[in-house]
Amino acid sequence: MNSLLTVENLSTYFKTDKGIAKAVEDVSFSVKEGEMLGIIGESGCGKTTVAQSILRLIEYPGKVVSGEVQLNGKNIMKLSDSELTDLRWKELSVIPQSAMNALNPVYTVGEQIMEAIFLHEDVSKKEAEIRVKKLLELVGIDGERWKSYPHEFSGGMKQRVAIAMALACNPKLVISDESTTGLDVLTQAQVIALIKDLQRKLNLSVILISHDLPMVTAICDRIVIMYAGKIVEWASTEDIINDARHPYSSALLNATPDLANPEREVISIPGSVPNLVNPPRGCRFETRCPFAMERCKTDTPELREVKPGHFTACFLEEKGENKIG
Amino acid sequence: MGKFIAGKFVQYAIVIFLMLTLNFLLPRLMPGNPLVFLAGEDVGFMSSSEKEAILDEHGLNDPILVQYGTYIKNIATGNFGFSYQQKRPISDLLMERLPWTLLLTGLGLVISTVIGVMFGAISAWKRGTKTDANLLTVFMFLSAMPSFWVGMILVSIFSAQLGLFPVFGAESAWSNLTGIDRFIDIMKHLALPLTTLVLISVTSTFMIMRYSMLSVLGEDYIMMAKAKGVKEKVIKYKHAMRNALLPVATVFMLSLGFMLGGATVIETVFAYPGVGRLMFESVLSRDYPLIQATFLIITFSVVLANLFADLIYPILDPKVGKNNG
Amino acid sequence: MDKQKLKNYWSVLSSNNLGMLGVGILLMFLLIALLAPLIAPYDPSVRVGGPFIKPNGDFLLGTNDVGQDIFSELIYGTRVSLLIGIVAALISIVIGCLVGVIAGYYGGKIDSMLMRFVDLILVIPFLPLMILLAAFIGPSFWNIILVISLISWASPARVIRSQVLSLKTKGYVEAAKSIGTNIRVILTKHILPGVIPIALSQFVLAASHSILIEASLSFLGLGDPFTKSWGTILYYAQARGAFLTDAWVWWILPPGLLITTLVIGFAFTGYSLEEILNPRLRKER
Repeated sequence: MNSLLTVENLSTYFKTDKGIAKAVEDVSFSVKEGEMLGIIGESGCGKTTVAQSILRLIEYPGKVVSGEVQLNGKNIMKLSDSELTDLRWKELSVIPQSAMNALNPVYTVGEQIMEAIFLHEDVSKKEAEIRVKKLLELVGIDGERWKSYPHEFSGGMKQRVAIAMALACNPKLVISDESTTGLDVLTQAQVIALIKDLQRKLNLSVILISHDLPMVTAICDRIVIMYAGKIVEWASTEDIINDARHPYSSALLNATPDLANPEREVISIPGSVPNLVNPPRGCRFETRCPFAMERCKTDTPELREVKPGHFTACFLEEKGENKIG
Repeated sequence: MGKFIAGKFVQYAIVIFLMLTLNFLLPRLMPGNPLVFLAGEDVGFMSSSEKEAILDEHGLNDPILVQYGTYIKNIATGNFGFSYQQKRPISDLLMERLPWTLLLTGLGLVISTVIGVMFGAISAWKRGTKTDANLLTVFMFLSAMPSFWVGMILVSIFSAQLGLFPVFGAESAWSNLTGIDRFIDIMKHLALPLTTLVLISVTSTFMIMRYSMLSVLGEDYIMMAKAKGVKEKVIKYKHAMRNALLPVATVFMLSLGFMLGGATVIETVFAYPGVGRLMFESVLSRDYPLIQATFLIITFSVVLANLFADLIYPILDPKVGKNNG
Repeated sequence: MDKQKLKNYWSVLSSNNLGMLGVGILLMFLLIALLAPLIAPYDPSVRVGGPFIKPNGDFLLGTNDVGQDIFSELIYGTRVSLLIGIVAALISIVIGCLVGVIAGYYGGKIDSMLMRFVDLILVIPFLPLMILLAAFIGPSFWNIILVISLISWASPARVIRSQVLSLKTKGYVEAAKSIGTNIRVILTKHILPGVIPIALSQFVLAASHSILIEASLSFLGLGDPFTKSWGTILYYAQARGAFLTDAWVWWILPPGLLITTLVIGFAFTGYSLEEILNPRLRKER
């Protein structure tokens, strides 16, 4: 399978009162056609910044300082504004964080979905209307409700509307950015199941950003684990579960209750996420890592392929003395 | 929505009732001879039979509740009493003066809202830049200047020194202008008072619009619109503006009260023959029934305008328009 | 380079430097008010020269229609404007605190009734109402203060109420209530410390409004004729038609500039207090 999206050496910084925060640094990964890729990490680890960088939505005080993002052979970072407008929604769309706020309260949901269609396709009003109804039906909402305002829907329904909107122009890649924030657990599960279902049906590529490890492992093909603005591990879901190489990945797995094995002890990770304004010089996980070596304090481990399709950034791997795997 | 309007209606009815009662009680509760408050300071020179006649005429010998009933009935039928200073029925005076005040404040309200909204939006769109800082400084200073002083300075410069505008009044006396000439004459007289009114009242709209626009720009649906590929201009005017205007509409009413207050002072400076100037004249001549009547008419206008604003608000905000009742 | 300059300018405007400027202005006026007899060359209530004298070495800003020194009038006027502003604001804040704390603390019916009342007051055009009241109770120093504070407590009451509400949701107030701590202790130990900073910033803003209102009332001839404020000076300047002559430069311009500067001083202080106290506002910038 070909890579639909490749991200190479992406770095995005934010200007703050205290200095420059390196929110995302040197991030590389790719998404295959029809693949569901999960990006996971604690809040503030840069997941959302990665998504917004790919969508080119980073604004002052933020800036993408380096990196390439190739989608279908086009470098998104180098596109002109009009080329970018053409690309958005037709090839790349987003289901945003908490749909409660992603729908403009003063326009009907139909108007908002149609806006996307009219921007990118030359269709008549009648056709657009039919498409809106179909899209709503697709996500399980009565098509006749396209004339309703967002506040007339429940939270879960709004999320479905947001998904319908994301699919309005048949994009190839959809980024779902913590889309279930603020919903109750049951509704979350339904929405996620819907995304998975649509992904299979429409052969979509999906980047699923979340902090919910069990959910991501349940539905994603491959997983990227981020820590403090950097990727620490990138592998197939199976490898992440059974053969995690990075100490942070293992810690994350241990810190998550396991429904299948409730006896297992849940171990929280001691310490806290480093300051992104002045990150440690070496590995960013060094301060919390139980296996930290002298070298980890000064040198930055590169993301290296440790076996086909399995990448990790840790010096333990280089020496071949990994004891956790 | 019916409920919302009904609630407001009750609130305004209470305001009117309270103000009528206050007006009724003020001359009767104040120490000294209530006759002074009703018929002016001339009562000192009246014979006792004359005084008796006035007391009878005002029903001051009746029980207090009967007096109150008569009072309410009179106001309801547009009978505001008689101005002993101007030797005319007060309702005639009010009818003569009211149009000028409506012209001044009506135009003032529209212009200052437009200017405040425009600059407030610009300031928010350019937040953190020099433009924003400059606008903030200018508007802060405008709100700190006493209205009458701004008027006096404008008259000094533009009328007395440069001779560009007439010094006082609403139109040239004895000129018998008609048609377009009269219109131009009226506009020339209106220019300085209107400018003053706009200058002193524009800041509140500006501040609210700026703050409201800033918070709207941080909303997810703006990010969503960008991701959809909506052009920046359309985002600003269609998506952001409409939402940012909602709080402005709610304070529209408060600023009207402020404006009519401002008009009282400004009309005084320019000897503009509106209700505010009438109030000042009545204060100068201690014509108490007239002071009360002008106060009542100003309060009525504010309440009516508030009600009007409440009625059009649901058109702007679908949340109020459809649900809530 | 230019960007750096821009950033500096912005930080001067938005950070506490603004507050420092405000406090500086206030201190300056306080000093002028306190040292008025030392600064002013003449007694402002005494005729020291002919009427309508143009500015010269003896009379820095000339004389008014009865031959009083305008510069001295301005210096002494500082006392009146400042005092009325501060006292009126103080009274309205005390009332506002009382209403706000009672409404916020007890909640329920009391709260909704008080807030309804506050809404009513906010609808009434305040300046005309003040004119009405001032006309009936007569022009005097204390009446002006009374009239201003009778109306101006409403919007601080709202702000303080919402602060009390947010304090109430913090665990310790509930906890104190549940173990039967008496109301006085809860109020003084838990509520007031949270309310006072907000009340302070509200006070400063109320003072700036009071000064403007006092100026307007005095300008309309409702000021105390025996203690001349800046507004009263402008009332006489207007009545004598000073704005139609060259006298506007020394008789009308200076009092207005003083009012504006004092109001700005209060406003700057108030806004930066608000910003320091309200982290949500700070984040907004």
